[in-house]
Amino acid sequence: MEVDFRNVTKKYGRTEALRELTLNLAGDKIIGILGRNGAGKSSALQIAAGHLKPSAGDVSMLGENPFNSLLVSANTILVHEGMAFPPALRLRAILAELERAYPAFDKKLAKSLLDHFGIPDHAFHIQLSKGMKNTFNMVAGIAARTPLTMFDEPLNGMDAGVRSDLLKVLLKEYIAHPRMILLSGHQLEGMEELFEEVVILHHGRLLHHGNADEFKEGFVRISGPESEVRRAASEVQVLELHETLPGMAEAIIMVRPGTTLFMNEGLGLKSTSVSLGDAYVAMTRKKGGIDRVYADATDGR
Amino acid sequence: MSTLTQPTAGNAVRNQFLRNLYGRSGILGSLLALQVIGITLSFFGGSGFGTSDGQITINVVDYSANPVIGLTLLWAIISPLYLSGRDSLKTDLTFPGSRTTRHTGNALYLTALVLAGSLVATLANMTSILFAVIPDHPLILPAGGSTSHYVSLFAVLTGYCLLLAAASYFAGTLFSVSRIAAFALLALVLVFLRVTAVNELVAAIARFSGDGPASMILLRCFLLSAFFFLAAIVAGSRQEVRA
Repeated sequence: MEVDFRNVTKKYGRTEALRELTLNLAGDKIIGILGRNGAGKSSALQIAAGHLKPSAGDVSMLGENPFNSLLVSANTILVHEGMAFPPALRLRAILAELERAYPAFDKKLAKSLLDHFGIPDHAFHIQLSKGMKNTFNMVAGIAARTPLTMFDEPLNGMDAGVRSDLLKVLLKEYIAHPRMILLSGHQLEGMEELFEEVVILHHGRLLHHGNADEFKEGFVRISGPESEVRRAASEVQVLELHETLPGMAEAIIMVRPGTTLFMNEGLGLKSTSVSLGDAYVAMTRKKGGIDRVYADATDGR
Repeated sequence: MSTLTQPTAGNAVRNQFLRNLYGRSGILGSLLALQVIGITLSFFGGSGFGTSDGQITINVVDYSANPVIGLTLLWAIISPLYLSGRDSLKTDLTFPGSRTTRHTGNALYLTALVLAGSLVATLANMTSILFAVIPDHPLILPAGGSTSHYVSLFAVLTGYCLLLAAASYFAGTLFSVSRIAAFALLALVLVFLRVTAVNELVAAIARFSGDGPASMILLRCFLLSAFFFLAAIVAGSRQEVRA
């Protein structure tokens, strides 16, 4: 499976959701598509699924343009919050419909998962709560076993137990039936351990694409007395620096590959690893962050 | 390693047809409901008048299946708007298919329902005479009543219902693709009507689809319907839906 974006731009009126995005995703992997709100994640996934067409540039999947492609449509499923099912069908009938539409759909697995999560199969999709709807959608996506499975913000509204169980099932399914899985989101709790690759979008552009572990290793959090943190930070590329307690500070720094960071622990400095979520947020944060915005807005009052 | 599915257009059309049948039962349900209402209205009769000269009172009640036919035609205008709307497309995009297979499946589904609806309306017309017999009142039988009369009624009703459904489906598709294009087309039609005068246009349509034997009316309506469905496929081939 290969998904190829070449100089793809997507506009909604005057708003540009994607700007000349060039990205190649290949192989059976779990890939994280990360970015802040409005970064273009959902647009990219909808273009890959053939729901939207690019305003400019080319997208190719299985040798075809996904928009209006029966082949791509049959080998792809996009799970998102707005996913709609025939309104007159109960959940058990929707599963039967999915089984007819997707030859590899595992109805037994889907039913067992619904039972486990306490979702009654005689209910209508529209009757479910937000969390249950998203759980059902994700179960449908997992059980469809399409070569390209995409989840756009799949865990929204779910409680911690359901999130954790679904991610375990996703990993088990991936191991048993390898495929390309794209997971997009900005709340990565529990998801980031699954990623083999990460793609970071920012303002519709590609900011980073590479191995997830290597990306994470490129960031370090240092904390300690503010003067020492500032001194240490002056020698490296700082993405974020803020006060934690009076006289104490914390900084997220970017370390070039192959660089060794020496910290003098005697000065009270501590270095810890940075989660993927914190790393990409620091990478895409405006200079000064919210502290600067608040200070500027309330200055002189 | 994941295995690719090689879909066929025929299978996608079949699935679309069946999904409409099972998953959009409201469309079939609305047809049945309207026809039941129409049959009920036919049973009680209508459009009657009464006269009296002091000694004799005459009440004339017209029993006909006109309400069933009228409501079936109304259904043919309204239900395709739902089927061609954005919500329906959003649901359809959850399942494998292209815009072409979707529209083809929808067109076949509407055709099947139009056939069923016309058949029910024709049968209602046949049995409307019985409604008059039940109350045990004097009866004046209408002209016609032969098999060929009912076959002609079925053919003409099917033709007009299909034509209305196809035109409505095209309008719904165009409106959900581009409201500007839909309004522009409507404005163009209105300008065209003013230029050519309504009567001439209606006469031209009537000459093409409403003149001659029933089989010719059905054939011409079928051709016009095919044109509208094809236009919907062309207009809808660039249709997008944002999640």
